[in-house]
Amino acid sequence: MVQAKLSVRGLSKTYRDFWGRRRVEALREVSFDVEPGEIFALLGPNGSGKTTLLKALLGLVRPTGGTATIGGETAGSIAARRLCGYLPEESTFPMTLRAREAIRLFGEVIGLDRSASNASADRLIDALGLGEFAERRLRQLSRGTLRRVGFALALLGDPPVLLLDEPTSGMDPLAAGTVRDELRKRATAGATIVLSTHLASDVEGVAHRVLILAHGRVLASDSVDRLLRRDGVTQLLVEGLDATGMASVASTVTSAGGRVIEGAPARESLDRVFAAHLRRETTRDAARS
Amino acid sequence: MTPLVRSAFREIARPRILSTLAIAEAAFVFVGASMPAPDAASSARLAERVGLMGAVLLLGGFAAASGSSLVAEEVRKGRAAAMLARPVPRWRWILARFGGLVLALFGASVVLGIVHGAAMSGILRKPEARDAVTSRRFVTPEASTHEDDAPTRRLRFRFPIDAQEQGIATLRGTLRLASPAILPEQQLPLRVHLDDATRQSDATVLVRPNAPFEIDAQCPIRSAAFDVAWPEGVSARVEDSAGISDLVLLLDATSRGGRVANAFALLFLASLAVAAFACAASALVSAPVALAVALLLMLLGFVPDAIPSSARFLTLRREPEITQTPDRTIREWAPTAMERAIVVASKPLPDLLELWPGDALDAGVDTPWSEIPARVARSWPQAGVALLFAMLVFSRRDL
Repeated sequence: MVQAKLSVRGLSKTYRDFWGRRRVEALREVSFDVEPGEIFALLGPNGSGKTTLLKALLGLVRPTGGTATIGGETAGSIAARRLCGYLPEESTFPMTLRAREAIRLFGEVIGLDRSASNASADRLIDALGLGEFAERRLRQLSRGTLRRVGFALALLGDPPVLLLDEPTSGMDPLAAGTVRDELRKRATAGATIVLSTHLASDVEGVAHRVLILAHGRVLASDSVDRLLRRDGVTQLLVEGLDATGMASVASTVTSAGGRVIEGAPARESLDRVFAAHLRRETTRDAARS
Repeated sequence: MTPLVRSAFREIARPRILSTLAIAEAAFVFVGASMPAPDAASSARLAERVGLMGAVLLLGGFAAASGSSLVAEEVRKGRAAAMLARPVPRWRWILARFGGLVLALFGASVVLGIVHGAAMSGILRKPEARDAVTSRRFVTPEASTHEDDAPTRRLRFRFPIDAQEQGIATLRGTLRLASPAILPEQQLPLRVHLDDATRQSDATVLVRPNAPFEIDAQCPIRSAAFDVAWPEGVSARVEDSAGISDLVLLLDATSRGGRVANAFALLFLASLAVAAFACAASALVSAPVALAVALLLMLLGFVPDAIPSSARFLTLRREPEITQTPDRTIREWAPTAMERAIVVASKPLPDLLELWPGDALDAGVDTPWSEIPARVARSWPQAGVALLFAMLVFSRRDL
């Protein structure tokens, strides 16, 4: 796979009204770099400028200041767009098309010939578990399934840069897991991935680095591990001890000069439990059929 | 670009929409046929007219509605962003979508034409109705006037024809001469003068006495006249006007299909112009505003004349004496550079040349519905310019 670095320097965007009056400062001097093989998350509340930032990288909005390059090409140029796969915030397609047709159509739009486009469509439909929806019209699909079709479109042509706006929004945990797995796989293969989200679980689960945005301003930018680390605090997961055993662990900690902050039974995340149930059900269905 | 054109076409030309248009067109024809009329012939003609008027509204409405949502709705729903994030230049995307719309309009024109033709053929089962719509015969001397201009050896026949007659007319005649001095193999120059709604044309054809001749002409025709001139040196003696005993003008019964095709080809061109204006507006403003603009242009129907009329109006208001000058030039007619620029930019050259010596006050004042498609169809250069301008602005717009 071709590798492409993404570089943003002092990117600003001010939306103006019809009369040229300043309305919203969507981005203020945003700078960051994303290396090939890295998953970079833009985390921020609604209206923080995440979508504007992605659109500016694709030339869909014109920045009022700063520069951005993708693989050395000016962001927004045709050459830069050729390197990018994009999943927009809202998955809207020509709803009269069937899922497979939509993927083929986009394949042809990005310059794949018909046979390559068909082959890509088949491969992506398999990889993202869209088989049973492939021949349905898009208007008949649920929001989550449409997002998966949108994700398939973004992956068409194996682009070296993926720009994904809320990639798991509206998806069930199983589908979200499939998407995260695919992202990890692509990153390992050398793709540069930028995803925007307001769900911290998305970032924790998949991203290497995160940039926190609010009102168009960068609040923090670091690796996820470093941001989540609590300095001086160690987490210990213990298995096979009863209350007496735990009390002796606590006294050992205290005698070594530490302090037990919290001791409680370990809990799974609800997402994982839900996904595990779904997976079991799917396996049972497959066995029955 | 082909996949984009194809997808736009499939999106616009949905079977449900096309079948609705077809049913509505058939309804227009049958409403026309069921309107009170003195006889079957008038009823058939009424059906034809109402059907065509319906087609103007349906096709124009379809063009305006589809054109106005062609870009604006895509932007609003975010589909434009999804597509334009790909390596597709914006101008190409608009052009491709417009291409899809052109194909859809062509399809709609064909469907409406077929439905119109089929509905009319149902109505035209009665022979008298068929004669009324498909052919009209004018046989000398009953239906025409003729003048015998003895000193110049000319006979002139005039056929008054209903101005609403549509389609292609074929003049068929047999020139029967009573005078034995004209040899059967001798060819006589027959000058044909046709005066239709848009132009007057003259042609000279050579015809042999007592042999049939045929001339095709574009309709609508207001009047047709034949001048038959005797060649020099022929000692012919025309006793009286009855010497030419049988000259027939026949609006051809066999060309009805051609007339329908003609009418719907014109409607297609007109709908293209409407669609181009609507598409241009939709790249700049929201879909409802673009639709309002397109419908306004369509309903006013004087797209090509609107701007020159305004320029004329301004000019005439300021210098009314100019209207009285028969040999006025462009400089006199539109004295300021701005007015000249407006006139030149908004009028294709042939129209401009035609308009110049003409009566400046006439054009654009009276716009009966039947002329709307012709007027709108002539506005395609302006529509093209509007589309180019919209593409330029759209390429710099935030999505």
